[in-house]
Amino acid sequence: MDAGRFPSGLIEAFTEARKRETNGALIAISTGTAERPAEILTAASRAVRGRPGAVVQPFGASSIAVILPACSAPDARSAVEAVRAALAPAVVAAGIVNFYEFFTAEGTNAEIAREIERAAGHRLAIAANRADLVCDASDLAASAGEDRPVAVVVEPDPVSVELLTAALDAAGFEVRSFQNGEAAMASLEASPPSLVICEAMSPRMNGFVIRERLKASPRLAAIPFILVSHRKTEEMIRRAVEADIRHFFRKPLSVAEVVGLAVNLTRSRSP
Amino acid sequence: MIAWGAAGWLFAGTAALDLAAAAAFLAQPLRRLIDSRRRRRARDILAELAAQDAAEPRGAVRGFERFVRRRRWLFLEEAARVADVVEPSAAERRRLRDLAVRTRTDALLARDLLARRPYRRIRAAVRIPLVATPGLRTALVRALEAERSRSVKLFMAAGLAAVGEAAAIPTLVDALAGEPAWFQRRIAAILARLGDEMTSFVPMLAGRPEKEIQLLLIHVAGRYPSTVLRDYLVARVDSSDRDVAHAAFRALTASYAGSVDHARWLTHDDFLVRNLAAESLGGLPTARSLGLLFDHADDPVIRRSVVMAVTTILRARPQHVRTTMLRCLNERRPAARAALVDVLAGFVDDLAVRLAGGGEEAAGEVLKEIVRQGRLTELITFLNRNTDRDLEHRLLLLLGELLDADAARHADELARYLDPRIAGLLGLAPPPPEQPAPARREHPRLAMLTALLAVGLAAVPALCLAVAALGAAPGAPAAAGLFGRWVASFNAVFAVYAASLNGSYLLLLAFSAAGARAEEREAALLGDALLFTRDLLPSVSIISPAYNEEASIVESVGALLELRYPEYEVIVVNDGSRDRTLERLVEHFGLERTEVFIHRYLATQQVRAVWASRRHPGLLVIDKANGGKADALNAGINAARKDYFAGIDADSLLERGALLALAGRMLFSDVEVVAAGGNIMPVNGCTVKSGDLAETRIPRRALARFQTVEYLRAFMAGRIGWAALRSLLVISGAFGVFHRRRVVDAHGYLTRSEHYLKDTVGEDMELVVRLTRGLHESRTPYAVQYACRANCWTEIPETFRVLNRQRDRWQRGLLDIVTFHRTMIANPAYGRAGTITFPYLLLFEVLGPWFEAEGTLVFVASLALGMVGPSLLALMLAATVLLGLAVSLAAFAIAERQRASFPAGDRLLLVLFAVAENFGFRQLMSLLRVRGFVRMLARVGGWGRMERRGFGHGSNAAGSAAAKRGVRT
Repeated sequence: MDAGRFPSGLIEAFTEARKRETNGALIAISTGTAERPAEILTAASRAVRGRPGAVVQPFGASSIAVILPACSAPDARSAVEAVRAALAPAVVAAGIVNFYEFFTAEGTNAEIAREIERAAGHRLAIAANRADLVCDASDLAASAGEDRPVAVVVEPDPVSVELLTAALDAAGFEVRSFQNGEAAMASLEASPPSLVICEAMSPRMNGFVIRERLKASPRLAAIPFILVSHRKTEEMIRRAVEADIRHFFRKPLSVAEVVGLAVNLTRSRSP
Repeated sequence: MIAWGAAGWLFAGTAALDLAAAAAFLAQPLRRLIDSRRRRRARDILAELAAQDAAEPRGAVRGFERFVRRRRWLFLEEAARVADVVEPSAAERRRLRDLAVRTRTDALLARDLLARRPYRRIRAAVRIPLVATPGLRTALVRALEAERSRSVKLFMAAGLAAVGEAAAIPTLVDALAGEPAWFQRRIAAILARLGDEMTSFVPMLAGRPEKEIQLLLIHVAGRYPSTVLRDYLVARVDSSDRDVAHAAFRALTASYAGSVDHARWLTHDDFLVRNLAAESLGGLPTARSLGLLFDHADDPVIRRSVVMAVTTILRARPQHVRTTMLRCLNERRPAARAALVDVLAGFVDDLAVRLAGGGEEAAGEVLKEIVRQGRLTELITFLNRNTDRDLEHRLLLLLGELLDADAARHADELARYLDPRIAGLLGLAPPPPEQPAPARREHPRLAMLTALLAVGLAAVPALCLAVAALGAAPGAPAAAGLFGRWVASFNAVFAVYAASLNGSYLLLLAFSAAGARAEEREAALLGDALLFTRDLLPSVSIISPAYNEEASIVESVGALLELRYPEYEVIVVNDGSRDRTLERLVEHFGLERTEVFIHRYLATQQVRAVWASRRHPGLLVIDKANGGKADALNAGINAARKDYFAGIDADSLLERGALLALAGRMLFSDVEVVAAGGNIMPVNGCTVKSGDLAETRIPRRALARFQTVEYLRAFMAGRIGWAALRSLLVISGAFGVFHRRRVVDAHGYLTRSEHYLKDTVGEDMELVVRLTRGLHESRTPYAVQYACRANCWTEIPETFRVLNRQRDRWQRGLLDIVTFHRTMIANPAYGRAGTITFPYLLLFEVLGPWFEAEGTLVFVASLALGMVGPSLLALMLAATVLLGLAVSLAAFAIAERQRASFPAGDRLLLVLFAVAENFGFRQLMSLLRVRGFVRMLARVGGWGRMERRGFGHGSNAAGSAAAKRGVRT
């Protein structure tokens, strides 16, 4: 989600909700394709018609944002259902942020609004990646457990995802997986994980580019990065070295080796 | 009347066929669901096996056994998929083996190793490593000893390498004797997986006289350095067989460079050895290496290697630039001096800085020398980047002198690539806008075309007239006059024609279904771990000719750089674009002009410059004068360095795994694959994100939807079938892979500049026909493959105007080929291509459209005149609409089985359009073909001149689709 375009009315809506201690929500909605925002925009406008103060507007490059100033958490979900019904059979993914989650947060309202926006983008990315899912705080809490380190897996092959997730989960990680580099990058920027395991030949942004991007951001540069691929040629190794990637494994992987390394890398980082 | 009964049955039969095909198509999601559940269950079992502790619960295992016993192959396939990602631990291997033994899977594998069908032997060989009981290991070694088929041998070798069965090495080595080079390379790649095991067999094999075995050992020696192997290589360099000597020396210099006595080899009799020796010195950046290279810089045969090696050394050790400079200026041998100037031209930046720093008169002298020799590439790049005006002034003075001396040779290069401001200072006008290549020279054969026209026009009417005159018109009322009988027999002939056309399609479809099934099964045997084995799959140069593609070129090249393939390069050929295609590429990929040596295997329009990128070492961009798509491809072939090349349209989107799918099929061929084609699909309705397909939909416009039906039918019912019949002659220009050496030997694509001095609009099909023809004439066994899982998504015409132009080109291209290669028609010397494909093309594609046009006309007329009885109507509907629909629907079913392409709504729409196309669209396409024929004749007669604007026909994507041949079977 590019954070360049700030949904107007969000600061006001949040300020108002916080003052009165009533809930409100920012919903990011996407069908996963770049061409449909106009359609979702109309469908969403229709779905929230009649709600006082509701705002619908484009959000990022390929999705829209709906701001509902006064609504309960179930209300937000039902708004998503209404948009979905209007757009059937297209798959609609939505990330919901309820304002009350941020009532105790510190910072100016504008800063918090920025955080809300980022969280909405991140939840949308998670929802889109699970296909046809809505994601809000309760989903995150359910999967997050107590305080497990988060591993992001970027891997287009479903079997690889399945195996890596199982192994990492058993080793105590919370796993977030993404089938392409762009979705992964959006999530990485929104909420930095403890570790990234990435297929070098991942679509829409390859492993080297992801690493370069992470390196360019001071916040993300230090996240341990493990590259994996069937294609581990001299050329690929050179590119990995250039991108300052220190761990590059050829598939088939040895689970003991990769997961063991993952544990060591994250353990040494935590204070 | 009997006719009604027969026609009625035919009608009912074809209608039933349609329903069955539609059901097969629409039910694919259900089949996929059932299949994925089974696979899910298999993977759950595998996960359980992996998670079990030493004390395993027997009860659960019993439950597994029932499932595994019922679906042994499926279970093994899933186990292989898992093992392809995650190496099983020793304990997991043991549990898997136990489970396999308890379910008697080992017996199944042993039995299939001896099966009659090669596929089953391959499948057994590929799956054995998962189970790998001692019995199966020995069975595999034995099976390999007895094996005759090359592809099966390859997979058995891969199986043995995967289980690490070193005992099989002697057998594998023996299997190499007498095999062709392409096959040896594959086996060598597999054997190299055994790594160090291999070296222990060297003493045993070192004395073997067979060339293949010596080459294999040399290959191993190059990969796994050891003292024993080095001694073996040194001994082999003096071999009397030059191939062996060269390979040995190459391996020696590559892997044991430090222990090579270069001084000795630089004076060797064999110039290739001298070249290799010079090249390898580049890897040893020492003063001694430089000295040796300087001494031999005047040897004309190794000059290029010396230049490369010195350049490499100077890059690694810049402090030697000064030494080289001084050596250059003091050099007395002219050839050596020129070579050093060549080297220093690559360090213009360095020289200029020395010059600007003052005091370095030598740098100025060398620069003068570089300019005098016309080595301007790097200097131009430097000037364009330079900001020091004083330095610029001094360099421009040098260039001014050069222009005074020889303006003709250098003015164009300077004007074209120098920054316009600097070029202005030199008094150079900007280069004139690109001139499009002159009209094509097609030289069609007038006599043959006229004869074909006469047959196409008159054969059926005349035949019917004869039948009518004899009074034997089928289905006509007894009282009908001569005209009535003529019409009746015409309609009968037309119905028979339509039935035989669709019938032959249906027959082809049977082969297609078998071919698609074979491909699906083969694909399931190929894991990435095998496909990405070093040197196993051929390396590929992707050549993408671009003409006025500024809108899409960056994205399409970006996508090409992200393919899943072990070893490939991308060569973009800018065919004299008149827009900013080249500039876009230079900006986005950070390209710099380089001096790369390009062979002139094929004559092409002038190549002006070559650009490369440091960030993307696998990318090369060639800038050349406009000469059309075929000429651009030929220029790309000249620059290509890999085993195969792939021709790709710049506005097409190759699926990331397409090349891998195409090359993977080659492993199953027992003969050398000279060409392979992929599947073409319309991209119009799809969503593309960062060069990756995000959503596949059918196009929105009706005209494009009709074509989607046509493409699916032509590829799924046509090409797969032709390939299965081993007589495929068409590979789409949008995506095809060719054996580079073979194409060069056949003189490349047909252009006016090349051997046959002739252009054609159907260069892609013509190339395959010519390759096939040459290979038959030289009695070389070969294969042309097709892979329906290798998808290329391409823009199809959305407007009638563009579609019309496209079909015109296709028909003219076809006619050109049929007349140019007419000796192949019905000629058994050319195998099935001659006896099946060519007659088919002639009957159904060249003459067919004429019959169809006439038949439709007569039928519609007789319908209007009330001369069509119910039986004829039923017959006609069955023969044209229902039979054709059955072909389309079955083709959809095949496509959908291979890959879930379109959402449910789109699938229903496709069925509707498959029905609707019979009422108008297909007839229209026949008419367009007739028109193409007429226009070709008209042009030969000198009535019209073909306007030619490069292969793009305009810059918009739909326009350039006119250059693409998608649908011919």
